Amino acid sequence: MSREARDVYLAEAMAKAQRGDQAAYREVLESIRVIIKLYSTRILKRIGRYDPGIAEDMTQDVLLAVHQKRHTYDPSQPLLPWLFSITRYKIIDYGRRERRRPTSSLEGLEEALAAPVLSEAGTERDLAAILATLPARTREVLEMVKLEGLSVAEAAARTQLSESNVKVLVHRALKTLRGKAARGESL
Amino acid sequence: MSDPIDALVRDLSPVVPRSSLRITAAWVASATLFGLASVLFILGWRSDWIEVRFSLSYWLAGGALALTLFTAARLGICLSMPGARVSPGLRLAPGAGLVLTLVMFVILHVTSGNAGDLATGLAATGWSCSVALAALSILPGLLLLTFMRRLAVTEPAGAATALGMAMGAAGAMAIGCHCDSTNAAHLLVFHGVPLMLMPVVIRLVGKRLLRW
Repeated sequence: MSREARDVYLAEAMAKAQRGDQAAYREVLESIRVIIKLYSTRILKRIGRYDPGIAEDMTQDVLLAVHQKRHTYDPSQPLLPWLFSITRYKIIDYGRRERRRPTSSLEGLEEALAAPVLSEAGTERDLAAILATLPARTREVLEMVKLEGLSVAEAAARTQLSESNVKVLVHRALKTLRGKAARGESL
Repeated sequence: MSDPIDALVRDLSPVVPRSSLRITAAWVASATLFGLASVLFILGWRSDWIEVRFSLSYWLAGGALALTLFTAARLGICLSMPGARVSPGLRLAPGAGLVLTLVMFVILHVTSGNAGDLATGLAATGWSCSVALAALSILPGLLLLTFMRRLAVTEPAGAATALGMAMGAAGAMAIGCHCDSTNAAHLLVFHGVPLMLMPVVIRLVGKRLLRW
């Protein structure tokens, strides 16, 4: 799926979620969760403060912020700039709280956030890299369901697999990705 | 790690996407109505209204303040909408409006013909204008702050500065409908200084209030 098509898919899903569509909302949250985790992990690694627990906390904070502020998203605009704006704000907020602790040092946080390598394209390369570590069939099914927005039935028809097989592959792929992201692999 | 997502999905309810333009327009309209009501029912209209209504420089000074009011409010609201494109022009416009206003104060003095000398413009009674300007800016400021806090401010310092500019412009527009002085010293000191100070003060205080 092209980046533009993915942007359109996410924007439409979020617009449905704003109208109360729980299935669409789950799709959006599952899709952006990996992106947020990668972005947060990258920032923490750049400033030498990577910790799986902190990255996970940041991810949860951002997901909660997305939920609380979903009314500020303009459905006619791409979703990712809105998401990255919230993520950057939450990371800066984390840095501000940490600075108040006398033993904490977050030197370089602003520079890390401002660096061009932390663009959407950079995170997208990470996402592609981490997906490439999955077995081919698993990656194919995951991309169809979670990135291209196909239903389980459509993905099953395309891959000649049963629907239950597709569900199992997606579940395993997400579990593997969470584990890799938590360990900071492929970044 | 699906538990947090499950909880968020269960908590989902429909929301209405906010429009930065509608919120800005609503605030500008409210601030204008409040200012007009304050002048009409409390302070009283300026006594030289009949003369100045044909004064181009008076209208230009008012126009500069209106420009500051609208662009500062728009900037503050846009900085409260994550991902909103804020052009360099929008960031500069409120400051440019402020500078233009101060320039127009001087032009008003030069063109009015009855402004008096600068020393008389600095009479102590002029402080009542500064106090009234500040007082008239409070309610519009609280309203705009409420709007912004209900959004998601991603640049608290910049948004607070814009808030201060919008508040100051609202107060200055209202007091401009009451105060009949065209003396540059009076306008620059008792109207202009509060206008310039308000963004500085509100930036210091407001950036903490706008965090979420």
